[in-house]
Amino acid sequence: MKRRKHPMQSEDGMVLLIMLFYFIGFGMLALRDLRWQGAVLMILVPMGIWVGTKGIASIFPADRLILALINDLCAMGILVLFDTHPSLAYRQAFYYGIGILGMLGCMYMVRTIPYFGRGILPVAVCSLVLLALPLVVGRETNGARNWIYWHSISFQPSEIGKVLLLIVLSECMYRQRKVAGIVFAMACLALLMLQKDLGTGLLYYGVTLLLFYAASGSLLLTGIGCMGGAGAAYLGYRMFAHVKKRVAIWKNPWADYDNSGYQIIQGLMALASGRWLGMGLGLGAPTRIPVYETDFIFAVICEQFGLIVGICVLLKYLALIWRGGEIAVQARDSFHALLCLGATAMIGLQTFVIIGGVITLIPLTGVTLPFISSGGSSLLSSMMLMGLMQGVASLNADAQREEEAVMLRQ
Amino acid sequence: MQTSTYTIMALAMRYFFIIVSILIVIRAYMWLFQNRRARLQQTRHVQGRGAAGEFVVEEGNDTLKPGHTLLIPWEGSIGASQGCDIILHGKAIAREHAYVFYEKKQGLRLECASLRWCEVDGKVIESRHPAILHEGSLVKIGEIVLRVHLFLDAPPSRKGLRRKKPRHRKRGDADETP
Repeated sequence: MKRRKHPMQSEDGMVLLIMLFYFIGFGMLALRDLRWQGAVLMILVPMGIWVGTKGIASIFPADRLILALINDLCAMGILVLFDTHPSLAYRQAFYYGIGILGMLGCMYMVRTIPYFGRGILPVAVCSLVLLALPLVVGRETNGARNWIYWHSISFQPSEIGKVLLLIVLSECMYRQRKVAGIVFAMACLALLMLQKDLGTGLLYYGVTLLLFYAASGSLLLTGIGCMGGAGAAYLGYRMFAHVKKRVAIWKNPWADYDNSGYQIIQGLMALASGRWLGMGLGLGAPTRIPVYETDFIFAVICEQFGLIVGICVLLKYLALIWRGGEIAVQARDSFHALLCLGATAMIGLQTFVIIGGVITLIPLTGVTLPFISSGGSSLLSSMMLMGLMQGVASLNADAQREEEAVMLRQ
Repeated sequence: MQTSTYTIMALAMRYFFIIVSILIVIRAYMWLFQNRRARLQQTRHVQGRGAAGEFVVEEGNDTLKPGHTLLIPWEGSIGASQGCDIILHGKAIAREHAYVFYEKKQGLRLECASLRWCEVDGKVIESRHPAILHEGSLVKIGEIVLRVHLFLDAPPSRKGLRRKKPRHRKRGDADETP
């Protein structure tokens, strides 16, 4: 008799566990409020996870582990937002759908356009125009002029700029036009400095430096770049009042606990009150933290589910970065390797910067936690970065199949 | 639902969420490790895996004897430097002398670094004008002459790749290793 494979031993086991987590989570919130929306999400979110992982992977040649992890993280964001601010959760679910389309679009682009060649120039110009737009028609929010508002829709161009920056830099480094790549990155950084969007600037800078090192292997030049970055950071500290303020809060948030340090202190209190096991889903007071839905979503997770689940979330990001690194190493040419490495580094650095800010390891910057934080632009750009990674993974899989076929013939 | 009842339920369910989260993470890392192990096992047993072809030395020197083979990576550098993918020592060989790379449409190509001398089938290769390497092509770098042996028959098209896909493989599995 043929032995049946236990579900926990198969790859489906992980997807089933993720589905179970969110089925129970949304079910609990539906019972608490006796709301039909909760019951609908209790069915729709696990179904979306199944379709988003198994369904997409059966139609498109995607990496299933990456799909499973990003679906898990996105669902975590929707669950936490549904508990604290339901209308944001519905919006997040809608943007998740758009993000899936963006991911598939990027994946298709990587598969169909092997190299950009001279076509990279319009992409670079497009990227600079996009980054310059908020300076002309943007509005200042939290000290940075990086948002565009049109009727009820708001949009952050620097998020999409991340994807374009990666494409342009990878192409320049691949074509051995490193100076052109660096000049482009510096122009982007200058525009971000003018917008006072220093958090995103930090991400752009870090990824540029990493790609430069990966392409050139020159420790000396990368070290000079690091020193230049340190100099620019010091200049930013001297020039911008809100940077000085954030550094002061980071050094001692208790000095002004009921005003500028209030957000960080509430975040730290949320982390402390959650302890290892958490206060329980739907309990606690996460809404006390100002801007909890974007900057402090990690503190909300830790408060409700505990530090153990918080560490698990970090380990999921680490798995995603590990997988991205593996895909980059396996890539057949350096353009795709750099593209995948850049996408991985962008997600990794963004996660480090925001979680480091929440736990006061580094000064807080206004970047979002990828996939989890509320925000359409952020979710779309994160999914597009994953699309680049998935595209490279699918090319690797093609190459592997081809090699196997040749080996079999020999 | 009453607040007190929900509180009891939420407190009890904390353990469930923790256990499931840990299980998800364990499954994810097992998935990563199993894939890695499978790939390493495969690479160990198949010679020339991960390479586009090999150079067979036709005319060598003191350091490289005729008949010796050098694997050609999908993308890499040729030169005397230890950092190069294919290391060749010789009088007229620079630290980074030439580059090989693979493009889907044109196949394997060789590009000479600026101000360096390379020949492919008797033709001098100019910088930024790479030459296509065919099966049996003769490449001259410095005093060393290398014959190209490609593992792939021809530059594959995407259409061709789809036809070659074995039936037993699941569709859409980008990470699967047999």
